[in-house]
Amino acid sequence: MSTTASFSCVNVSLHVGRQTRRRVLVHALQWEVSAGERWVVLGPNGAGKSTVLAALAGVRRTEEGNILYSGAPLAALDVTAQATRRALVTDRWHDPFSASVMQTVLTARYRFGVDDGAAAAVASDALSLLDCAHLAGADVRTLSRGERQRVAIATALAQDTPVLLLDEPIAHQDPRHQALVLDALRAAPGRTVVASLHDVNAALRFATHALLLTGRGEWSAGPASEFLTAQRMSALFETRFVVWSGPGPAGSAQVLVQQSTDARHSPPL
Amino acid sequence: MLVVLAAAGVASVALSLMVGSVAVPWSEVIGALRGDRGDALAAIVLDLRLPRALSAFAVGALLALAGALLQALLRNPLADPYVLGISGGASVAALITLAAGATLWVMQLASAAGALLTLMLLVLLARRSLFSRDVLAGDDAASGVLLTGVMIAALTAALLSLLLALAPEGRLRSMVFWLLGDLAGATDKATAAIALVLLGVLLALACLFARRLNLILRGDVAAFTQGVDVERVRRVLVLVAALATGCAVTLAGAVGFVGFVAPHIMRRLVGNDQRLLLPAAALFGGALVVLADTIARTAAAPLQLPVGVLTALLGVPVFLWLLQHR
Repeated sequence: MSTTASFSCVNVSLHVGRQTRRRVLVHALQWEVSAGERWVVLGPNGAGKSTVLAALAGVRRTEEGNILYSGAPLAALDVTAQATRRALVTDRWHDPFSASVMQTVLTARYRFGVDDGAAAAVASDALSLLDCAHLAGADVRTLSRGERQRVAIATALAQDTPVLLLDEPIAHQDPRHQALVLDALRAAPGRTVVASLHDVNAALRFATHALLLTGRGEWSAGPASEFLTAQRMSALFETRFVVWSGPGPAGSAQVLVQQSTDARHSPPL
Repeated sequence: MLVVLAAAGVASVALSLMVGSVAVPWSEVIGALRGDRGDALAAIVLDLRLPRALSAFAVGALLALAGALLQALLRNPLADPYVLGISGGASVAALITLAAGATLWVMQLASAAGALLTLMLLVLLARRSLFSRDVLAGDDAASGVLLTGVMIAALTAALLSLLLALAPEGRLRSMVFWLLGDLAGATDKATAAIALVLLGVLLALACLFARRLNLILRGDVAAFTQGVDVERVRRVLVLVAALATGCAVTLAGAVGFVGFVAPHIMRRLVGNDQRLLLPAAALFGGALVVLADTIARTAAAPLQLPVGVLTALLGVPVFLWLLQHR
């Protein structure tokens, strides 16, 4: 095991459904993530991106294999020890009763105990970083989905863990905030980030590495330069991507453009 | 705020000591509480009104505590102490003994046993939700416990209707009164003392978990990843809520509404931080039932009204007013 390993998956298999309806999402995943790397998890709908993130967070057991944080099996760590190592942003949040945005972010400081002097400052910084400072006093139940999602990300940042796991963190964001969220996730040096995304160009902008899931058990993982290519994306999503290069604001820009496989549905450009 | 509520609780008890079929002046009440047992007035205060007022306070506080806990645990503002069927089980057992013409303490014993048996049934049936090793699956555990509880409550409601239909004519009235909540039998000092001690223990236990409950409000997955042992907290607090409900129902029958409305009114006044909300709801619920019971036994004296009707008559307007104005 390398000393810089942030966490690793040893022979991890994940299934959904029971008995005859059982489906293998990920089979025998061998995956090592080093501190400071930013991984994107990509795959078609139902490929198991959320399931992998849930397993990494320890909120879902693995059908086979072990997840190790700094060499220690996750299942053997108690709930407090887990909370010091990783934070999770899901796409489901519960707000049954009204509460302020600030109170919501402060829940992440639970692990620091009752006399946590830094709590207010850390929470404010996290909110500012995600362009939510102006919402601090607002009721979480009055927020839009995009705002609520950024508050959830700020909450995870305030937990101050070396590993950050995010399930579709830009799903509800407008274009400006998509960039803002991805930049905020890149900004923390030394922090390991794993995020599932649907936008391959957002993935290019954000990730140093990629984990690709087909949903049929197969997986592949490696550096972004090798795995976020038009060829790989075309195969993964079963739709054709081509590289488009041209002048951009900072020299030349390169993006992946999806080509419709059916001429009738091609956009009128 | 808690000081104000505690003062309101004391004031409601004091009021209930003074008013009744025989009005007792304030000076006599103080005298009696100081141990001056000289006259009949002192006997009325110490032997009849004080145990009943303290029982009423314990009942209201226990129900409000149970309601506040369940609303938070189940993440459902519609939850109340009776939603899990615990009180239904206690009521079935109590009504069977009432129909058979048993004495008060047999009825209370049966009611406590009924509450415990129903709790055991709930834990058994909802074990997969309560003891889930999988937090992600457990995010819906709250609804698993709730649905099981609602089904048990439905079953006990059917049994109660059956009992009322089959009950001998002469005992029907006392059975209906008990179902509506009735403190007429709660004049035993030892029982009142036990109820107050139990209230103290359960409230203290609940407050120990209040900070964790604040996190569980935002979902099991969120709370777990932030370092809360969700499974253990839920198990302990469901038990606390069930014991509180069982104790209250044993003492005074199914006093309605206070367990639902007291947490809601307090949530609007003190906010939703469980560290403050749990004791506030308990104090307010206690004061509300003492006040309701005082009115219940004086408004139409010598007739005694069921206290459960009064809690709703007092609580509904207050809650509706708060809904309109905030």
